[in-house]
Amino acid sequence: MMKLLRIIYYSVIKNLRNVNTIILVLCSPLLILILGSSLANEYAPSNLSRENVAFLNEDRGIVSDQFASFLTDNEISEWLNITNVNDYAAGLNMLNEGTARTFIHIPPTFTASLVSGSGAKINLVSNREHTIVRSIIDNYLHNVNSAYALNLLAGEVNSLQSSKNHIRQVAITTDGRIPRAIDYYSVHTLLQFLLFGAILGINTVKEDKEKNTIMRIKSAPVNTSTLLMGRSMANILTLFGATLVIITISKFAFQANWGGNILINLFSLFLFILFANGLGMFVGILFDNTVTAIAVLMGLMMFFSAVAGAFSKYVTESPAFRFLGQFSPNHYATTAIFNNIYAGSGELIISSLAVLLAMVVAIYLCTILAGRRYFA
Amino acid sequence: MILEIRSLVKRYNGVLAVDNVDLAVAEGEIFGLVGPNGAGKTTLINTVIGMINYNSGSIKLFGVEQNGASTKSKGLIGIVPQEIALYDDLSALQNVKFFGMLYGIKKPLLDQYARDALEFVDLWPRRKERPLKFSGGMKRRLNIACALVHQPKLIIMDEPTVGIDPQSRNHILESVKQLNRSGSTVIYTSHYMEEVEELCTDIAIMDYGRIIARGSKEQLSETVAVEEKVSIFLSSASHNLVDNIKKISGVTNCILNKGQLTVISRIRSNNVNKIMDSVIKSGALVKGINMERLTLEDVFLTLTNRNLRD
Repeated sequence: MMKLLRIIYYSVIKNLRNVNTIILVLCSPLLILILGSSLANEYAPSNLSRENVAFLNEDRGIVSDQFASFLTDNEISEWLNITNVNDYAAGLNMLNEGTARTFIHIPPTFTASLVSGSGAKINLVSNREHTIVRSIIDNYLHNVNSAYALNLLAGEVNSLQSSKNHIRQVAITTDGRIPRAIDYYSVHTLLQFLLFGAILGINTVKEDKEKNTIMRIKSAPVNTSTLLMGRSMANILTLFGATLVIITISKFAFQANWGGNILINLFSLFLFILFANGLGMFVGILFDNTVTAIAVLMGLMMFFSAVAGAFSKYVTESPAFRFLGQFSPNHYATTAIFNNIYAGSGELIISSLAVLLAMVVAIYLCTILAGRRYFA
Repeated sequence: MILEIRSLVKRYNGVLAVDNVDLAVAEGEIFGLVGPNGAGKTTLINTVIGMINYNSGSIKLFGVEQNGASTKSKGLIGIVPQEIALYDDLSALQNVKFFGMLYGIKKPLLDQYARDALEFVDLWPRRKERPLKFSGGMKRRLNIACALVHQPKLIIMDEPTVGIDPQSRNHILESVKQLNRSGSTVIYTSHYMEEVEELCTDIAIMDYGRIIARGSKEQLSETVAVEEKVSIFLSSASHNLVDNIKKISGVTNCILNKGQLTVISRIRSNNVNKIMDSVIKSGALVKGINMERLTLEDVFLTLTNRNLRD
């Protein structure tokens, strides 16, 4: 155990003195800033799931009807899957059965209260504090109230406008619930950086052979597997530390959205780091030459990133890319992270992490099988 | 015996790299292993340290049969590889500590042992620097320190002085002698015959995977020498002297040329006293005498023949 800890300690020192790692850590936030700034508001992930919403309108007034109409708008229906219910109990029932995650209830006095100026409330029932539905409703009401105030001043109370054309934009950007370019690229660039980090995995299997230190190691009373385990854990620690640095910079310097359950985000990234290290080791074992191994790794990194939409999210709308995306760990990591940050489907988060975990297990099994001959 | 090798065979893709080698190294000696490139020296060493498996035969280290799992005897060996085997990203001290830690040495003993090893190779003042900044000689010395940190009883040095300046080489040779004086057994391989000649009490010459000769330097000389040559430098000499010397038992030829008397005798004739008696009785004044003996290099080249190897 002490040997393992010391191998980890010295390997972390070696990793931190690796110039390539430092350059990548420094460059990643810069890349995030460049992409996020130049492509602001162009991006939103397509892999956010639609949220199932139960809707009950007991008011039937002018404002509530406009709101109901607003919910069926094409843009809104990209995010919400609305099911009209006949009474309050039916809405709660959908929540209990899990067929809806949010229940919107407009009480009978809504329009009257709004017009009389006594204040109007839409009931939002959900077991989560922050939902995309709440953001949309908040901003809708805000704009309706503004429009109503303007109309009062103009003396045309009955010509309320819902201002729906810009509601989505306001909702997206002011509350940060839907990813902007900076949010999008913070996640994707971080994952690309972590795939670059797979070079550490290549070093793990190559360095001792190329520097002849394998002779010392094999003549010492230590198992090669202990050494590789220590090295791998050091790589994981190094990459995880770098991940925290990049997240901190992107969150506090660039205001990127890393909300949601932070543990889910970190666990997704941890699985991805495990995969990256395993991939690096596997590629390093498969190819005798380090330069060739790195070239292959770069190719894989480009493929995984591209099909997951890291360079352009629009490619993920293509059926071919959607198909290829299934083979990309980036796809599953981004799906889990985006659905976590933007209150998407919990089932999708779990299934994505499960696939990522399976990929991790598969890559380490392959590495162990190939490594037994390599280090024999 | 610290190391006993019996009928060891190692093949690489059908090519015999080690061919039925028997070898024993006694405790406390400096054992020299020499041979041309590709003779099988490094393969033999690699099998001893457990780096590679062998096809048949047996290796006993410290009386324990080596089967790859015998970690106890591994802890008693220190290996100085032919190539520099260091991590450029770690400082000199961190390198030494890293390799010491692999042998299970714990703090604070590890700190002390690392200091001892670095002081032994005269690198303690440079302990915080990385090997990247070191000269070739310093890297070689650090390479040795990494092998000594766990204070092994058997030290295997594979060409430890390749490509370094005479000062560093001298330092390393003195270090080997010092290690031996302090009780360590050393197996030393080198292309530099004068090093092996200076250091080793027991030498094996290896070629084509076989041990072709074994013994002290003198014993090896005798295996190849058929004649001995004595040159005597005289201020004056009579021609009778040549005739008288030719009559001495064992002398096969005697030539006097410009004051240099060259006497050739059969090996182990032990007739030098008689030759000198004849010279003195002739009234000649002796200015100098030189007995030419075969160097280890002569023996090596004779046994392994002088053809270039690939």
